[in-house]
Amino acid sequence: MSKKFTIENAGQFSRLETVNGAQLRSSLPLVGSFGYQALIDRTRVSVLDKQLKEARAVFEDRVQTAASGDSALEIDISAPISPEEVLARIEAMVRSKVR
Amino acid sequence: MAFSKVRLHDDFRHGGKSSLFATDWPNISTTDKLAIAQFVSDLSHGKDFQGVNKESWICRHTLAEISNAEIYKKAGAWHYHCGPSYLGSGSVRTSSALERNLLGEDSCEAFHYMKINSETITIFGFSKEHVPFLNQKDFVHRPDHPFYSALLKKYSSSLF
Repeated sequence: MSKKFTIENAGQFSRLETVNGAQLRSSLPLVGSFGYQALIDRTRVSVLDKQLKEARAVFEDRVQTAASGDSALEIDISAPISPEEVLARIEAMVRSKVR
Repeated sequence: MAFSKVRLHDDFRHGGKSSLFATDWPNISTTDKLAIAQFVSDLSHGKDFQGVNKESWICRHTLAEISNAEIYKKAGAWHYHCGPSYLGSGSVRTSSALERNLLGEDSCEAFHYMKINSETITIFGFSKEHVPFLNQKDFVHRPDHPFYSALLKKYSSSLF
């Protein structure tokens, strides 16, 4: 079970435990002489690692379906359009919830 | 080539992703939304762009194909460094034809898109921090890796 890791409760964690959704792989004791900052940095890297892999999976999934799409949900830029108008059109699409 | 239509992928437009590397439209900051909107507006005006623009399966340093990016190549996925946090290092601008430009300005932020045809691009994702293709050996916990150490300095307090 994942639980929030903080400096204060670091001693409660055992080895190979899941911290904030990422597995902590340290083979060193989490208390005692082992530096807390190093432990925190390693754990943060594992969080980044997980986010990176998730992003890759999301994008790989989307590129396979990006070619299809409802032409009603596209922004016509055949004529000049301001950034504010672009934003307004996108937000309108988002609010419409139409897929 | 003059693009006349911009689509936002359904999952990007309505999605709930909110990480550094994949943020969907509802979770993008107003500043970053404006950077994307400015790009679309500039495209409509036929203007050129300051950011790096490249195929996502090509290494910007060697121009070699990236070995684990076959899906991006098959689909024709590109990404554009849209700012707003430009690093001020660019020397060449990207034309509105959106050709490869490795000498534009770099930014942490990039959006991911595909040229569907000669008229249409589809934006399918946004990264507050550009997603690099790291080697497998880098996917182990190495706070001293340049990519991770830079992110740790920047986001350490917000990661947990």
